[in-house]
Amino acid sequence: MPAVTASAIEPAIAFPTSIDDALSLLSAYPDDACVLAGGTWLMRAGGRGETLPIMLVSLARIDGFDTIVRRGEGWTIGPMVTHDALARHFASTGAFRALGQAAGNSANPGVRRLATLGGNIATTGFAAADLAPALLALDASVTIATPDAMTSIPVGDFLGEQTSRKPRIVTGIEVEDHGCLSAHARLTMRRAGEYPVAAASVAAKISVNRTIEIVRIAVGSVEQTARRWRELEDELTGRPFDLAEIEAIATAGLPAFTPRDGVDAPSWYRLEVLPYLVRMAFAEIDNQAGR
Amino acid sequence: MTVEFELNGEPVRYHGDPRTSLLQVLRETYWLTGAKAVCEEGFCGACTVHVDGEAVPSCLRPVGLVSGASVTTIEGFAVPHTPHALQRAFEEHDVVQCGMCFPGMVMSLSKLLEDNPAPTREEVKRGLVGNICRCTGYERIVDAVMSLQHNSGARP
Repeated sequence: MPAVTASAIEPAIAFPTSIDDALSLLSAYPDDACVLAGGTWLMRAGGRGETLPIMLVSLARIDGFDTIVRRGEGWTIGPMVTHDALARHFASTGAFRALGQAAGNSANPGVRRLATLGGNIATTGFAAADLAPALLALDASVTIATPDAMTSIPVGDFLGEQTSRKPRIVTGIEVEDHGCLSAHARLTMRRAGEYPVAAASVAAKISVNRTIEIVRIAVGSVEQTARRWRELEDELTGRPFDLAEIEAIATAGLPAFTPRDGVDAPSWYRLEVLPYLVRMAFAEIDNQAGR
Repeated sequence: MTVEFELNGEPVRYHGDPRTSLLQVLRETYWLTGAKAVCEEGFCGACTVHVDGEAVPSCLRPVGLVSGASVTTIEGFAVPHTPHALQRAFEEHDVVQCGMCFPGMVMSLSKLLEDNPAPTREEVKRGLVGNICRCTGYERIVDAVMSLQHNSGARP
């Protein structure tokens, strides 16, 4: 497919039915085309002072992209699965609860029916993505197709390379049951219906004698990109399960962050609330364990 | 680009930029102004319509993505002069204030009741999270929704 200049392209939404066709379009129009998933970020381009790309390459008609498929002890989630579908699928307590909570409390019901998992993690510049910290805590992998290869990488690596301009498509997200319980805690300025000013996702295994055996902690919306809080994980592993102590250790570890300023909240505020959100997520895990 | 879809039960053909929001097309091409252009960011709910039976903000849907879909707006929601039970309840409880948010409220809450005919007050409030009323009359709106359940074994 020959590349053409922007002036020669009419505004369009393309509906490829295969990954190869989608990649061909993105390769043919590198400056004019971008992937369209749920559209909830792209359709607000004007409000950010941006213009929409001339060609939107919709993934809506690629077979299997809107399915959640069992794979051994885990699941492979298609990139076009909506937040609403995720919330319903992962509503029960257990290993994947953080993902269900993150999806089910994000934005508002109407947006959740449109916004997709793939769009949420692949949108450059969206610092308040709820699903990103949840997937980090679940130690998820992201499968990416490029014109050269199909590769699976840890979600943290994927989020860290968001500036890549190479044509690529998220084709699936894999989550495994690592024997942990998980939870997601978020704070909004109103009670609900907004993006979080800070969010914490935790996956942990607490032993019968109430020791933290395994823990993964991820933080979203505080910095520009969600990330694991490995310093806190190291501090907590092997310690007795004590919510007050968890909050105190988290507070002591806050210098590890470079928080962002935003119209919704100043940087200091995001840090101020973070230890309590970590505590809330641990409390929810304890509640799930029935203790 | 041409986009064909069903609008309030009638087939339509939109000719134009498929990236245009469904909201803009409804209001400026088909003169269906019940869906309101307020925040245009998906957060106020005033532009809510049904697309293939789901209540969604039309401001965030490029019209190209509704190709082949069925779209229902507040204008096509009920038979003329025969309001839906929810609309009657709003009227009977004198809920409507300035009226700006109400088309969206009706579209969101009607789907909520379809999926969950006997919601709790908390469930109604959760369903309304994406519909903002600047007149702030939420409790009476919830009262009106709950009144629909009085004869159907509603939960408190």
